[in-house]
Amino acid sequence: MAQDLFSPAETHRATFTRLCPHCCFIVPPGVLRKYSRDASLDASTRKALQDTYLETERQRGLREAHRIATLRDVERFAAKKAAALAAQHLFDCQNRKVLPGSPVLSITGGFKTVFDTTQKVAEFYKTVLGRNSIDNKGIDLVSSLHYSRNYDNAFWNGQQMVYGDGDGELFTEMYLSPDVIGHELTHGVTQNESALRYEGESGALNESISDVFGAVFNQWLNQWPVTEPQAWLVGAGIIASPTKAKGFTCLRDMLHPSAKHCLSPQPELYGEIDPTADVHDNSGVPNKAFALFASAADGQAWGQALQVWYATCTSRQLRSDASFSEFASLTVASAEKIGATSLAAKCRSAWQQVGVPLSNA
Amino acid sequence: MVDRDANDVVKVRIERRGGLAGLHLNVERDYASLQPIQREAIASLSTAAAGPLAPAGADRFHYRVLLTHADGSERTIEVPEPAMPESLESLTQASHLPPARP
Repeated sequence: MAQDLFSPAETHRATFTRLCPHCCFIVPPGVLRKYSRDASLDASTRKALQDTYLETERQRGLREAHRIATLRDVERFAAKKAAALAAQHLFDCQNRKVLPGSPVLSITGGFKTVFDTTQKVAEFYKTVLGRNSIDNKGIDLVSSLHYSRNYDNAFWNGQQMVYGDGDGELFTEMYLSPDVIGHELTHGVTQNESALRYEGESGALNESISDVFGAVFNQWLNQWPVTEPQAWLVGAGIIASPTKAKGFTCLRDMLHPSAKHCLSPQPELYGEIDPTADVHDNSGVPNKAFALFASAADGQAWGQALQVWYATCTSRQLRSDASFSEFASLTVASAEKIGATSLAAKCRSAWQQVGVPLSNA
Repeated sequence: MVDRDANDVVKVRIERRGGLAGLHLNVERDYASLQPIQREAIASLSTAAAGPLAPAGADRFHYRVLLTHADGSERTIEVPEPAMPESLESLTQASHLPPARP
């Protein structure tokens, strides 16, 4: 028998099937309650409507309680909200390539290292930049360890952080560099802000932003001044002994991107980059610009220099397909707002030293 | 576009890009030297729908598989990490040790 797509029952079913999973705050509760009792709808649709109605009422109650609490005791409520850091969830992939893996109940060994460092990254973002987690709304932080076997990588998959154990020859456990954890978490921040496209110059900027915030987090953690030689190394803690013995001390060096001690040396000047190269190849140019700027601006990179970069990264003017030139111009504009002409001049000089022209935008 | 039989492939080159480290790894093998499971993986990649899938997130590996056929023609297949068969991934793992510092 052909289905009557225009019957009242089918229209209601189609409408609520489409709307109910997402619209519990839009459809009035009275409408939900009414149709949850509509005998012309099938049982599963009525059940979905009833569940949505109950969830709507629960959320309404929570909102009202929140409103009353803030009215009665503003200071206490605000202080409590400010002190809260994002909750964490750890998973064990058990050397398989399935995410997120099994929940970890006992936080010891490598799991404790990841938990503690991730907590510090969240604290860094909160205290230095006033940001509450990846989405600035306190979203939970999820990390999976022991991904695959001998896996020489760490990544952000769009929802969570993932760490391999390394193969012991090239890399050791990928979470042993605090800046790597800061780097991966920052990819989540970028995803929630500018969503820089992961290709070309915007992709290289995406990578550079993760290197910048990861490295500065490491400096803040260790209270390193900008003059500390280790301050600008990316991934120094994940280089395995056999590779260290060959003279490699890091993945990248933000102040000296083409240095021989880098496992993955990069071009230092804009004129040297290959526009079609991998995003990790070209990130050295904006990396060096930040390192030069921070070195000129402050004794500590998490001062005005990072504020300028953060203001740029969270600016609505930063387009997802931004070029180096557009990004550079936005940083100069941010420096002008944060530190006036003298800071803007230092920022402009840093970009000039790596050969990136400022756009007219 | 002509459908090619993976059986007439004589050489396989796999390039790995990306990852947090951004290291470039390349490995080249004669097709005849591959294990049966690796040949099956090549065949499945060869017949898969064309067009690279955008990998989610950041710092994932990206593979480029270049097949050289008996008549000398070549075909390139872009493969994001989640779609790369493990049997082929393992080929690149054995080739990654860096040279001594120059």
